[in-house]
Amino acid sequence: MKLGHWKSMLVSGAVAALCGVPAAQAGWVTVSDSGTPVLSNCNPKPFTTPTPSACLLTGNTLPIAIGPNAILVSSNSATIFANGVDVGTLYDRVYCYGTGGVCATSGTNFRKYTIATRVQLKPGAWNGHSNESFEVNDLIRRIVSGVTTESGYWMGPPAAACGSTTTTDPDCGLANMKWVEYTGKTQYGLNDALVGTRDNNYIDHRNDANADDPDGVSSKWSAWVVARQTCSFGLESGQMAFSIKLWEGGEESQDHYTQWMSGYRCKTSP
Amino acid sequence: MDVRISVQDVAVTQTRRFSAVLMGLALFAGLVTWLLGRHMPEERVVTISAVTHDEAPVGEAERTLPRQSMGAAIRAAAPVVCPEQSIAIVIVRQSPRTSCMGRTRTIQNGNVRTYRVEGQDRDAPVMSVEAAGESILRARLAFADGRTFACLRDKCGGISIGPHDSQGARSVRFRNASLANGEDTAVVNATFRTTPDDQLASTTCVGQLLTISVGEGTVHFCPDSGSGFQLEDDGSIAYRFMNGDGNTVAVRLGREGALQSVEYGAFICRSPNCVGTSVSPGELGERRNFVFQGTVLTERNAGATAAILNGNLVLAPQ
Repeated sequence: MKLGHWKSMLVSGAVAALCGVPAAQAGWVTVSDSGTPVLSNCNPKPFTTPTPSACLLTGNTLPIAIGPNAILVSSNSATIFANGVDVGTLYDRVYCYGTGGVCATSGTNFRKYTIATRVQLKPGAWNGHSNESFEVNDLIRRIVSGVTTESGYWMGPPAAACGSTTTTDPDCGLANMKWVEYTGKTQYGLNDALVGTRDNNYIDHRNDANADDPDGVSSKWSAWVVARQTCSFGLESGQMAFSIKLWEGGEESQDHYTQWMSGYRCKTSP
Repeated sequence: MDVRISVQDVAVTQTRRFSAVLMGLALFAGLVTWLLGRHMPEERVVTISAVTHDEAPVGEAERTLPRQSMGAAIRAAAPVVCPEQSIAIVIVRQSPRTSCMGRTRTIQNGNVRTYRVEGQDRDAPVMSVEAAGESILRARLAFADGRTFACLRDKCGGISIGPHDSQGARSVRFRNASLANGEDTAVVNATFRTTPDDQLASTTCVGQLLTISVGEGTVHFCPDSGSGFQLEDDGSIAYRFMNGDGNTVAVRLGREGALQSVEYGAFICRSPNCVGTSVSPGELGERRNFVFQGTVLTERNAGATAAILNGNLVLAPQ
């Protein structure tokens, strides 16, 4: 992101992000399973304001944003070690849909799950040869191929409902003017030689989380990025290795770097 | 007569002189050989002893050595004594070599661990192995001259991660493991001891310490690959803690909060046999403390080995 791009939208963008998420209709998008384009636009750089509603989910809490009737069924937090250095924390959750705190046992919400992921990053050197901090340009996660997938993101709650760019609470963390740019079924992120090449086993959310971003606008929080699918066979028990790929694509000439993490995953067989 | 005697004396004298010269030459040759032996580069003082020391069977690498090389190797087979660790490498058409290596560094990258061992002299190679738990993802042997031999996943036969020892360390073992560089192959034999888990503990482990004794081995379990919970279909809640090896301790509570089971890999106890386990109260997603005081888990397949848990784990706020 060039600094010049920020100037046109800093004032309105700052108001929007720091004082509350823009009032927009919930914006789940159904990402494509074939053909082109692979990536759907959410809020591509240079960012525009008001924030486009595509992909954008709003509400005072994550369950409200992805709701209605979302119920948390799984949650995990894990330190992100890159090159042996603690560069942040990964949060991974699964919500089902139902009533009375019980997931639906029939109907359209039966075994429908939203998998939600966000990172909180630390400033500081990690790769052994530069002072740059770890940046996540693409949050990519394993999904079930051949199943319709809705995608979206939630920046965090408005300030009036605990939203803060500096908090350490994942439910109150607010991504600082780092909207999701694109989403689609690929595992190849920014500046990857295969960027945007279709792979229906993965969904990508392009963003720009960095606690000390050389572009001048830092956000230690990514948005909560979410993908909703029906998992016919339910969820795997516990976290599965190689489910989440954090990709640093060198937006400001940093290293290209893949960080695989464990994460929740749908079962693909009984 | 005098002449004959004289001739004989001369002959004897010449013979004695010749013998003395020969003896001197022999001694000199011996001295040179000894000096050369002392200063011979390490790679020429090779493998047989090291391989034997490593208790590896004589493999394809040794069998494919040219006879002359094998002979030279056997004649020159002074044991290589390394202060830390060693690696024996055989590359076809080259002299086998044993190099002294430093300690194993363990580098965590998400759910992948890299074990890196560097040579202790200028010409020694660097070996790195990437593993997810006990699955080998990649091995790479890099020499100072730029040559690199590698293998990926199922092509890394002969490389394994051993169980924990009594100090909590594991071993990365190479048993005639083949690493390729184009048409060339390096056959490797070595055993590298990893850093004990408790010395790898990250800040994640502050306030929590769990030791798991399995047979002769001890695991210093730190959940630095994550902790969390999962609501199961039957209404129970499984709290799971994962360490850098990818192993999981799971504590399952019933709908009403009663302890149902504790699991670690192939080991499990079911209530009321999970003696010594307690869980602090807390709502879903809140920080909770799990205490284990001599909790005994037995093998699911009715094996004779037990896993004994002592210490505590803390569920991080979600």
